[in-house]
Amino acid sequence: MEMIFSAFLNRLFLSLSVVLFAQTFSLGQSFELRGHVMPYQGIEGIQGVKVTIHEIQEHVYTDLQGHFKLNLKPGHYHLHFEKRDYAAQDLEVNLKGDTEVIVHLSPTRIEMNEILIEDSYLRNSRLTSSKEILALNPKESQQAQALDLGSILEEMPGVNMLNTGLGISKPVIRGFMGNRVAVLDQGIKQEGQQWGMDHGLEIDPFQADRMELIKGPAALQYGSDAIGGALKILPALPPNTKYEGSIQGLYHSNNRAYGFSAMTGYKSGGFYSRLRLSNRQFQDFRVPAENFTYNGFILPITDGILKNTAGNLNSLRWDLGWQNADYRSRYLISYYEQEQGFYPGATGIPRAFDVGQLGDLADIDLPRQEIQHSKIYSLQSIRIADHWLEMELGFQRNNRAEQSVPHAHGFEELDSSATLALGLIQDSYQLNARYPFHLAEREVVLGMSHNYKLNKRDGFEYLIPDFWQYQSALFALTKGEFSEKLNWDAGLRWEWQRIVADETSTPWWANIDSLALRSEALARNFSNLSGALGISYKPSPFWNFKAHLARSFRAPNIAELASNGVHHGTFRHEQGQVGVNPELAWQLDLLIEHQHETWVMRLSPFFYYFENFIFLRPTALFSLLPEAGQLYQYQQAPVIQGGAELFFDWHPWRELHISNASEFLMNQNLNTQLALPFSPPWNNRLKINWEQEHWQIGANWLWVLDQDRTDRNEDATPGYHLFGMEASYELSLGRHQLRLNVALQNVFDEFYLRHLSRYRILNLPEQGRNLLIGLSY
Amino acid sequence: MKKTLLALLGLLVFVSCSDDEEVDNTAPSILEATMDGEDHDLSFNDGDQVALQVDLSDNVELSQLKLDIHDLFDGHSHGKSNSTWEMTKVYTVSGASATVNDNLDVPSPVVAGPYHVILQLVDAAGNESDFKELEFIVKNGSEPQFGVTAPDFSNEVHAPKGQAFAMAGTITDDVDLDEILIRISEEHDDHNHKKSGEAPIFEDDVDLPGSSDTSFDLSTLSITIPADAEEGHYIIEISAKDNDGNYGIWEAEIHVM
Repeated sequence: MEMIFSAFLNRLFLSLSVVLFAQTFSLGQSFELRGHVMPYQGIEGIQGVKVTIHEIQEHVYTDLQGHFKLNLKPGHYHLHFEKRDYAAQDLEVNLKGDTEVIVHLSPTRIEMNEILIEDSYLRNSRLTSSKEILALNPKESQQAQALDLGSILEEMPGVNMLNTGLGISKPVIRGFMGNRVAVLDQGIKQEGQQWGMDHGLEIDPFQADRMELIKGPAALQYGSDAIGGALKILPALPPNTKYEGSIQGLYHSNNRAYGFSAMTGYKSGGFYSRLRLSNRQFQDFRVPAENFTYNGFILPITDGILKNTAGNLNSLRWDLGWQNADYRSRYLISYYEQEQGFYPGATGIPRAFDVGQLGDLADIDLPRQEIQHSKIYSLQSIRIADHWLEMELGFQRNNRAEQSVPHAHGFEELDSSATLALGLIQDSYQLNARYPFHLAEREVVLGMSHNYKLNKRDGFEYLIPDFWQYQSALFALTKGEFSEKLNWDAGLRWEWQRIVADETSTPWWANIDSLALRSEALARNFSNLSGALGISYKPSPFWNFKAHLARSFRAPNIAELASNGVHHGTFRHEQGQVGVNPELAWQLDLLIEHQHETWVMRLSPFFYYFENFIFLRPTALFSLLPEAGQLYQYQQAPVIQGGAELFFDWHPWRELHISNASEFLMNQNLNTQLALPFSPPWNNRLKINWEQEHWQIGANWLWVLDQDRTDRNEDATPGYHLFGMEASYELSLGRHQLRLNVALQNVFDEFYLRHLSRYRILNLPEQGRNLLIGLSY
Repeated sequence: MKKTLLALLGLLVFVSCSDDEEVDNTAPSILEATMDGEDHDLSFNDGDQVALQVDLSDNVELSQLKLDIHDLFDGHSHGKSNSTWEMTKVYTVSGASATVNDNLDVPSPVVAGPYHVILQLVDAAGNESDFKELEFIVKNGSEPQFGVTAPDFSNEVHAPKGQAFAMAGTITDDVDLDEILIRISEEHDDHNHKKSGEAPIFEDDVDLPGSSDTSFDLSTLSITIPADAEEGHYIIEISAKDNDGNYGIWEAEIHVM
C-alpha cells in the first residue's frame, strides 16, 4: 500500500558514505562527476539507479556496474538517488574539479514507489531536517476515487478535510485550516478567499500527482499563513520520452460521476511542455437515509438523494520548462472552473416543500457556488557564481460567486433574476526570490517574498468590504551539524503586512433605498519577527528523533478584521473586529521514528500554545438583521492544542502491506474552557493490501470515535466505522499500460455524520455506498 | 519516547483539569409560544392586533429573544399592490425564566397568504436555543375565495387509492387568478408543527395564463391518489394566488384507503 508515501520511511539505514577525490586542477568550463552506486553491505554496483541533479532537473541512470557520469559546471549541486527496493538517498557536492563519489543505498521493502523529498529551500533531507515532511503521490486509482483534492489528502495521518458535500473541501492539518494552512502550487501560495468555511481548494485532483506535506509550522519559508502546516503541490516532472501522453477516466455509481483527464507531454533538449485537460461532473449524491431531523422537524430525503448536490469542474494546466547548465525556467498557466450546487437547506431554513422535490438530479440549481480560478506562474533559476538564484512571479485571479434566490433571504424587492448573493473577485500578485550560498562551508538561504492582493465584492449579501493587502517578508535559513548523528536547522523571518479597506455602507437588507454602515474604515499594519530552531538526532540506523520549536505569528485576515454579515449557511451574523491583533504562538513538534527493513513506526506528538488565538465567539446578542440569528464576534483567547499521530507500516512479505495510522488531537480555549469548533475526532485508518506484479487487492477500515469535545452551540458527533475494498489490474499493451481499478467505498452503506462537514449543522449524513471504476492508459 | 508520553500526559491532565470548572454550556429553551392563546390553525385579518406570548427558560440567565415574521410564499413572485408583513424585533430578557408578551399589529393593507413567525433565544453565556416557528394565515378580504360544494367535508371523506379524487365548486376573486397549487400530504398528527418527513403524495400546479380568470372551476382539476400511498389521514391543501399577489388557502382532511 503505497497510498501514504512517507518521507521518513525511505531512510531505512543511514548509509551514505562519500569519498571525494577532488583532482587538483582542470581547465575548461565543466568538470566530470563520476559516481559508483553500491548497496550498503556489498561491493557489486546497483544498476538502473535514477540520479537526478536538483539544480538543473537532469537525470541519468547507472549502468550495469552501477556507475554514472555527468559533466557539470563548477558549483554546488544536490543529487538524488532513487531505485525501487532501495531507500532513496541524497548527496551534496561542491564541484571544484573532476570528482568521484561513492554512494551506498540501503535495501528496503517499504515504499517501493518512493521518491526523495526534502525541504525545498534548504534542501535539507528528511533525515536531517528537524521537521516532519511527508510525500503524497496519489496513484491514478486514488485520483479516480476522489471528487475533490481534500478526500485524497485525508489519507495522511494528521490531515483531515472540511467538506461541504462532495466537490468542496478544505485541507485541515492538525485541526488548522483556512488562513492557518498554506497551500502552494509549485512556488506560489494559492489565493482564493481561503478564509471562508465553504470555500474549497481551486485545484483539480488530477493535477496534483506529486505533493509534499509539512505538518506543524512552516511559516519561515511559506509565510505566516503556514502556522499550522503547508501543502505543496510539486511541478510535474519533465517527460521521460520525446512524446508522452496519458488518459484517465473515472465513474462513481453513487452520484453518477464521470470524469476524464488527458495529458500530453513533449520534450526536446532542455525544453519540455506538458498540457493537461480534465473534466469531472457528478449528479446529486445518495445517502443511506430517507429523512433527517432539523430543529425538531423531520424532513424528507426523497429517494435517499440529497437535492442539488451535483457539480462539475473543468481544468486546464500547461507546464512549460526550459533549462541549460546555467539557467532554468519554468512556466505554468492554469485555469480551473467549478460549479457546485448546495443543498437548499444549507442557505435558508430547510423546508419540506423545498427539499422534498428532487427535480433534475444532474442540474446545478440555486443555491450554488461558481468559481473561476486563473493562474500564471513562472520560476527563473539563474546560476550566479557557484549558486543558483531562484525567482518566482505569480498572478492569480479567483472569481467566486455564491448564487441564491434573493426572495428566500427576504430581499423582496430584488428581481428574481438577481441571484448573485455574494461575489468576490480577488487578484493577487506574488514575487519571491531566494539565494542559497555558503558562508564558511555553512549553507545559508536568504529570501524575500511579496504578496499583494486586491479583493472586490458584489451581490445582495454583505460579508466583507473591498480591500487590498500587501505582505512583504525577508527570511534567512541555515543548517548544520553538531556531529554526524546530530543535525540542526534554524531560521528567522521578518514579515510586514498592511491591510486597507474603505468604510463601507450598503442598503439595509431589503430596503434598497437605505444605507447602513457595514464596515468601518480599516488600515492596519502588522509586523513581526518569527523564528524556528530544530534538531534531528539519529543515534543508530534504526532510530531518528526530531524536535522543532517555533515562535510563530499570523496576521488577522479580512474576515477577522472587517466581516459584518450573515453567513448564509448558519444564519450566524459574523462580525470582525478592527482591533484584532496578530496571533502569536509557541509550537513544539516532535518525532520519534523506529525503522527496520520490513517495518517502520512513527510517533509525531505536538504541543502548541497560542497566546491569542482568533476565534468566532457566540455572543449573548442577536443580530438586528432580519432572519439573522445570533451575533458571532471574532475575539482572541489563549488556546492550547496538542496531540499526536502514530503511524505503523509493515511488509511481512514482499506482497503484503499493512499500514495503520492513528491521529489524536485535543484543544482548549482557555477563556471559554471549551474546545475549538471543527476539531477532528480521534480516528484510526487500517489498510491491508496484497500486491502482485500486475494486480493488487486491498481492504481498508476507518474507525472514527465520538467527538464530544465541542465548542458552544456545536453539536457532538457520534463515531462510526467505514469499510472499503479495492482492486486493480495492469495490462501491458506493447510499450503502454492499461490500468483498471475498482473500489467500493462505504461497503455497508453506513449512515454517518462528519464532524468536519458544513452539512453537519443540518444533521445531513454523508455519501452512502459507492462503486468506483477508474481506467488509465 | 518517555519524554513525549509525559508531554502528552501533561496535556491530558491539563485539559481534563480545566474541564472541572463550571461552564454553562446548556442551551436555553422556548417552552411555549402562542398567538392569541393558540399555537396552531392560526388565521388573522389585516389590521388585527395579535397577542403574542412566549415562555422562556434557561439553567442560568437568559439574554435575548428574537422575533422574525415573514411570508411563506414558496419563493413565488410577489404582488404589486400591497407589501407583505415583514417584522424583526429583539426583546431583552433576564432571569432563569421569563415570559415575553407583546401586541403585534398586522399591517393594513397587507398581502394575504401564509406567513410564519420565527423565535430564537440566546442565554447570557451565548448558548442558542432551537428556534420555534408558528405558521399563520393572513386574510385581507380580497384574496381568492373558496366555495367547495363536493365532496362533503362535514363528514369523513374517503379517497380510494389509485383513483381520481373529484371535487366540485369554484375559486373566485375580484381580480385575475394566476396560479392554483394542490398538494396532498400526510396529516400533522400532533400540533407541535413537527412536520412529517414524507414528501406530498400528490402535487399539481395549474397556471391560469388568461388575463381575466376571476373564477376557477374545481371540477377541472385532475387529482389522483397514488396507488402506492399509505392508508391514513391526509390533508388536501389548495392554494390560489391572484394577480395582486394575494394567496387564498383552503385545507381539508381526507382519509386515503
